[in-house]
Parts: sequence; C-alpha cells; structure tokens
Amino acid sequence: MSARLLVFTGKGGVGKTTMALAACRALKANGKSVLYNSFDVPHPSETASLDIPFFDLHLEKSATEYMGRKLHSETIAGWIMKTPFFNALFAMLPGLGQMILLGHVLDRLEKDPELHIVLDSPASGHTLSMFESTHNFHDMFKSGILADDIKRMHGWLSDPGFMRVNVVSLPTKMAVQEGLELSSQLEELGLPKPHHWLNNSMLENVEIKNSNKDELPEFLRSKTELEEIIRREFTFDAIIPHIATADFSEVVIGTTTAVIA
Amino acid sequence: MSVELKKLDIFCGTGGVGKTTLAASRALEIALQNKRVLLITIDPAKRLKQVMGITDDASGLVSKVPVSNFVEGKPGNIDVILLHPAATLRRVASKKGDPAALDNQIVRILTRPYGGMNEIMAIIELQHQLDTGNYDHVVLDTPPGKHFIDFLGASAKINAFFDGSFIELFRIVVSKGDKQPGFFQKLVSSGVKKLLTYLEKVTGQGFVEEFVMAIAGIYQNKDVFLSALAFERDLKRREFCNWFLVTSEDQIKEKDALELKDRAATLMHDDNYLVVNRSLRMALENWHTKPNSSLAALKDSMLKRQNRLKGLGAGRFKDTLEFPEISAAEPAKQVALLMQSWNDL
Repeated sequence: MSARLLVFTGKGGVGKTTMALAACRALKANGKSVLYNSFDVPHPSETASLDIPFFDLHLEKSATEYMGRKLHSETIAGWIMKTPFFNALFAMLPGLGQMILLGHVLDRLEKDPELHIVLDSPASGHTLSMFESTHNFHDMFKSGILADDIKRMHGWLSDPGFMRVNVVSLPTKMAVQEGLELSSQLEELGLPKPHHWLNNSMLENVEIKNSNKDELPEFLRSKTELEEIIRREFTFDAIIPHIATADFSEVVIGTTTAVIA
Repeated sequence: MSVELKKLDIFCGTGGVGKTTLAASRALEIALQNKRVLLITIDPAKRLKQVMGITDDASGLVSKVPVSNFVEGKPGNIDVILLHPAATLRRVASKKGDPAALDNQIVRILTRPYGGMNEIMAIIELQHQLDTGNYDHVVLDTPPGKHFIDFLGASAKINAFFDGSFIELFRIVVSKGDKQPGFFQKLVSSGVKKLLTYLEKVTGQGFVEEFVMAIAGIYQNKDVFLSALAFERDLKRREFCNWFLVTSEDQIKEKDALELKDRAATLMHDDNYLVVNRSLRMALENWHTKPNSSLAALKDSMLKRQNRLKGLGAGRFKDTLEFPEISAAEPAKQVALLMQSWNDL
C-alpha cells in the first residue's frame, strides 16, 4: 500500500467504515503516519478504543479557511461566509462544499509528505457526485482561482501512486454488480482503476473453515454456495472474512488481521 | 397482525438494509388487494430495476409493472417512478410554473440524480402524485441515512430559501420583469456589488451571473416548491401515513437506526414500525450445534447480533415487524417471498 490517499466506497451497509478503520490500523502497524477521515460526518466513537487518529472537517469552517487563503484575508472571508448569499450558495450546491472538503484533505497530504489519509467516503451515489462535481464545477467556473485549483486537484486524483480507490462489496450478486458499476463510473471520471474488496465472506469465516461442511445448517449452506458462484464469476483484490462477533470494535480488529494478511 | 392500510407508507433507514426491496414488496402486496398503487423509489439496484422493467431512459417517468413479474399468474400492476429530479422539476413546473426560466446550466447540474436537490424533488414529486388523485395508495422509498434527514428537512429548506432576505432582493429585481442580462447589472448596482466582486475573484464572473439567473429562475417557479409544503402537515397525521424504520440483523452499526429515529422524532408520529429485516431467528432456532464446537461460536455471535435489535423497538415504536433472511439470488424471487411475509404478519 504505497498510495497516500485511500478511499473506501461502495453501496450502503457493505462495511466501508469497518474497512477504513481496519486499513488505518494496518498502516499504523506498518509504522506509517495515518489519519482517518469521513468528511463532515462525525467520526465513529470506536476510534478512541481502537486507537485510531482522525480529524473531523466542518464545512463552514473549511470553506471560510479556503476563501480566506484565496482572498488573503480571514476577516473578509468570515464576513462573506455569513451573508445569506453564501448560505444559499452552499445549501443549493452541496457538491461545492464536498469539493472544498476534498481540497482540505489534499492540502494536509501536501503539507506532510509522510502522512497517509484513509477516507471513509459516502455511499456509492454520493461518492460519484463528489468526484463528478469537480468536473461540473470546473466547467462552471471556467476561469478564476477555483478552476485552477480544481485542475490541480484532478492531477492528484488521477495519480495511482497517490490515490487508491477501494470499492467494497458483499457476497451477493446484486452488491457485486453494483460495485463493478460504480467502479467503471469512477474510472470514467478519471480516477485510477479501483480495487475490489469482498467483505463478509462466509467461505473465509474461521468457524466455518474449522468445521465439517455437512454440519452447516441449510441457510449457511445456501449462503456459501451463492458465494462460490460469485467467486467463480468475479475476481477480487481482497477477500475479508465474516467475523463472528456482535461487537463493532472486534469486527474492526478481526478485519485488520485479514487486511494485513 | 396486519399493518393498517393508509394513504402513504414511508420506508426509511440506513443504507443497505433492504428498504427498496421491502417497499416494492409492500406496494405489490397492496396492489393484490385491487388498489391503485404508486411506488416512488430513489435508486434501486440495477437488477431490481431490470425486474421492474425500468431502464435508465425511463427514469423519472411512470412505468407500469405487472404483479405477474413477481408472482406468476397474479393479475394487476403497480406504477413505479424511479425518481429523477430533473424530470420532476420539468413535470411540475410545466403545470404550476414557468419551465423556461429553469433552462439554466446550474439548475441542470443541480437536478442531476446526485446534484443535491434529490430530497426537495422527492417531496415535490410525492405531493404532485397525491394531488393527481390517480392513486389509492403511495409507497415511498426514501434516501439512506443522513440523506433521509435531509429529506425530512427539505420543506424547512424550501421555507428558509423563499423567506430569506436574500431572496427579497431577487424578488424586487425579478418583479421589474427583466429576465435578460441587464438583470445582473441591476443586481450589482443594488448594493451587493462588493460581495459579488469577492465571489468573482474566486469563481470567475461567468459563474456568478449564471448562479444569479438560476436563483431567479427558481424564484419564478416558487409555487412549484411551495406546493410541497402541504405534505409536511400530512406527514404528522396518524390516519394519513405509516412510518417504517428498517434495520437489518446483519448490520453491525445498529445504533445508527436509533439515531435516525431520534433525529426524525419531531416529524414521525406514533404509528411507526421498527422493521427487522434479514432476520435469522427461525434459521437459528432450527440450528442445533455441538457444544463448544466452532460452529456453536458462530451461532452464538449471530444470536448476539439478533438480540441487539430486540430491545431496540420497545417503547419507541408501535410494533416490531420481522422479515426473514431470504437466500434467493434473484431479486424477483426475493420480492415475492417478502410479499408473502407481509401477508403473514
């Protein structure tokens, strides 16, 4: 894992947060400096017990900071951000806010060449809209400081040595096909070819591996059979087992072991 | 116990819990009772879309889906709209507003499927369809998680938008009947010039002009947006709608569901159901493991996941509805089995 920005995305409920937190722990175990971030969504409370460093972003603060830098005055930036005009602008153009947040993430990586950031990105559609908005706004702004910044951003985001996109799926046909669809759409937007992760694999589950197949109950037998079909049909860059616990932190710890392996 | 039939069923929940499939099965099950049913869905999986016969070209349009696609030999059909914000805006504006004023690059980008106006457009579409009187019953599948809250907050957004002093400014300019480029000049001379000069430094002038035109266009179509506000009043009426908060046993972050419920509490009334989807209860009851075996540990962890959801509904919901885990690979089969489960409740 040499990339410095790791993005985790996929359909809702596939385990993006679990994978992102596990990737943080894996990088840390490798002696890397790493931060977890999920944009303006608050970080999960488990980061504390899992000992994962993170940073939170606040849209208004980030936007004011950005404007301040561009206009060479935080005071003016603070003043214009409070006007109804700008409130309307940000309420109506959520992509603009997301783009500024993405810019902040890139800024941090630029300032600290040793740093890695794991981005727990919104579910598929909203991730698409985020990366798409950089193109939309580039077309809209045409000239001006923002357009130049976006061009610079595209340079970073298209470099496979810098960014790695991970699309997470579950072992059902619907989820895998959606993951593949998302991945080709992201590629069309100029991002590096995404890596595919299959999460919650029953075939790789330790308890199932350690037992006799004939002992499996009907529902698990059909689950593992469906998974076999899927794994014959599609290939994955990483397969993460189902972790037999009801505790979120324990799932992350179990997943970390699989990620390192 | 069956769930009382009302004008509207709203399905909400975090991502990946099976909202869309459940909503579709509910709509089809009601259609079997000889009712005219509309299903409004946000972003179904491609294969479910295929089963429902909705292609990407049909997004935003009303498609007729025969019940027999799911249960062979059954009569009847449902109408399905795969929500597309641009199509909604076009449809409603041509009835109540001035679609020409919305012909603007920024409005076009905003009303793309993830352009940011999904939630507002969903409410507008829903109100519009209820107004047509074409349906006995509407089933609404909402956007996942945090975006559902945006959806509930959409009417507040509409209100704030059209009440703002900022809009007042545009109203004065627009009321002079000047929609052409001079409009921007007038705006600049009306006192916001300094502000716009700062904005232009960052965005370039073309954008500011285009943005001002977009807001003006939306303002000219304000009736389209304000008509949706009636909907919020109805949402609070118990006899009007049922709320279904969907969770799933395989979700590890069960707290998310409660958080959603707490944040939505001001809008939801008491006729709300906690839906536990993909329940393994029956499967686990019938699964006998050897003590201390490795499979016993797996079963134990699955029971624990199940138990986390048990107390979740108590005191917070009218009832908890359980839908079993379905191992069918085909979406049509999944929907058909869920239809049966609604019937068995």
